[in-house]
Amino acid sequence: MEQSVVDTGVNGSAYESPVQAYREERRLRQAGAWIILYLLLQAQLGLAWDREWHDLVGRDQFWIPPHIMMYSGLGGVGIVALVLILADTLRYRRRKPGVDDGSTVHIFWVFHAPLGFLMVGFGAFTDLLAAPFDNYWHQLYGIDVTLWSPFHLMGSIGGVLAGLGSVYIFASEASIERQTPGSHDHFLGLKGSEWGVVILLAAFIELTLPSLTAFIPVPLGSVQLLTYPLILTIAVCGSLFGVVQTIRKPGIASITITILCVEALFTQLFVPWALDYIVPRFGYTFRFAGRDPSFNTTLIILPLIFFLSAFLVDGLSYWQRLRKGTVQDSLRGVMIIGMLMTLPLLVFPSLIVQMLLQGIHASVPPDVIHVLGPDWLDTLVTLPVTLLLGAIIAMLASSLGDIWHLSRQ
Amino acid sequence: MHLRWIAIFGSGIVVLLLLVLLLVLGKLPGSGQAQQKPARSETLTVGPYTTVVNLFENPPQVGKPLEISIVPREPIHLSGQIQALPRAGTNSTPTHASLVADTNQPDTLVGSLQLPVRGGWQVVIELDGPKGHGTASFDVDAIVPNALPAWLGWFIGLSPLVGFAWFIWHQWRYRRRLLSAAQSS
Repeated sequence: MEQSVVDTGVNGSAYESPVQAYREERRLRQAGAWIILYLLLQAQLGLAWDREWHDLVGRDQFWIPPHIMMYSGLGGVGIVALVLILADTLRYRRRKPGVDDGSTVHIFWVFHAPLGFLMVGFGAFTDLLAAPFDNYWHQLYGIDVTLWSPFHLMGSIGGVLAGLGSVYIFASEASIERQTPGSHDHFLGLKGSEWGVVILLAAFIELTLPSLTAFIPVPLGSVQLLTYPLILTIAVCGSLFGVVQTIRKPGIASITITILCVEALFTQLFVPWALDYIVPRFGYTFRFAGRDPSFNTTLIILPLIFFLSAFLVDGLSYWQRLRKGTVQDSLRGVMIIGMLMTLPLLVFPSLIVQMLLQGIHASVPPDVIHVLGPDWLDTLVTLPVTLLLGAIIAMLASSLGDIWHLSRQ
Repeated sequence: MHLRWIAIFGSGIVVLLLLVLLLVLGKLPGSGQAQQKPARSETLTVGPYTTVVNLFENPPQVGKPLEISIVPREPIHLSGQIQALPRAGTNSTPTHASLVADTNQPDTLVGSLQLPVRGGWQVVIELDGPKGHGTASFDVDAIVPNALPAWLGWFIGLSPLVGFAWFIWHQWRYRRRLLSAAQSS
């Protein structure tokens, strides 16, 4: 794969009418990007539904409604990516304006397409490859195989790759628009492609919420290492530093968490409704008496604590850019802020569960109590690992944000 | 404008076609036909009825329909259903199917069970007829031929990580080039 940083004439050096020359290509890529975004969100909702379906109904066949929702989304993503890759390869060979070495990468000596579409294609392919293997693994080892099985992890890698790929697509579009003369449509201060980045990175955090209870504590002698703060750190620090460095506008991390709250609320409203509606109508039955689908309050409250992390990274970004008067430089001190951002992620989930159980005597699912239930000694043991991970993820995500901000491929 | 709509509608049609294909493929496993010769037969007393139960695959394979026929010893018209309950150590949920009269031999009941997970299962037969209701059961062990070893599963499952690691390294270098290009411009 070849990636170049050549100037492609977006500022008018190579084409007679730069704005017009790019219009066609922009529309093609942006239409593809929005369709992919919709299909990814559909697949993600299907995944959240599937997780509850496994718990409450079981998994006795592949063709269950959540799987159809999830895999039709992923299959669609793969097809749209393939169509765009082939279209851009053709347009590259025909030397169409806007499709050149500066805005595409080439792969396998034949294809020329934006990096994001290639990543989305590979991600969807990985997921679709994992699906029959996963079905086979369930046949071998049973229906309650958790996230920690080889083909669930393979599917997760594919999903992350497809998600990152679509961020690359939107970010490159935002970068091209930023460097192209002329006005662009804005909504609440953000361009359409910037909204795409925000929605996707919020969805990346949302992806972790329904699967949080799969991150069970790891015993270390008489204490335990909590693993849920680690995945929260990866998702929250990664997404927030990524979005701040990509878009570089004040308050963008807080906007991302606001979008996350909407996505989480929608997911938690949809999943119990879909189970209640579909299970009896399609002849399925719930596995356990007394465990009906219910609204998971913990997963609705949890995103609110991410605002604390968002305020930290927004504050750092605002302060540094105010001092320097430029948005082009990379952020400094990201590792320290990354560590600070992990503290609410480590402490507050347990506090929420404690508050729900003892404060208002709410009903909390047993798996949530098992994983998020308060044990302050375990929290102390997990603290150094979480701080270290926060620093590393902040550094990596900030670097990725630099690429997303600058790259036009 | 034109291109955008072609892309949207083209992708929509392709997604629709994929869905149809998935639905058609989903129907395929149910379309298998019972073999002519039973692979296992045993006489079973189901309440007041003495029957011969025929399994057309033994041991049954996971994911493939297990065709079952129940032939009463005396000519009698029966109805009923079959259930498969996972035995201890088999991590699954019960599955069931109705028994219907064979079109060629009206006294014989036929049904098809699909066992979703490898391991021990208890097949329960419930019959209703002029002498009342009866229940009996027998055990089967579902198999998966040529099962993938666990290490190979993990090897395949985690293999995309190699590509992922390469991609991170590649992007790290690309970032350096981007930053130096941005500084020089």
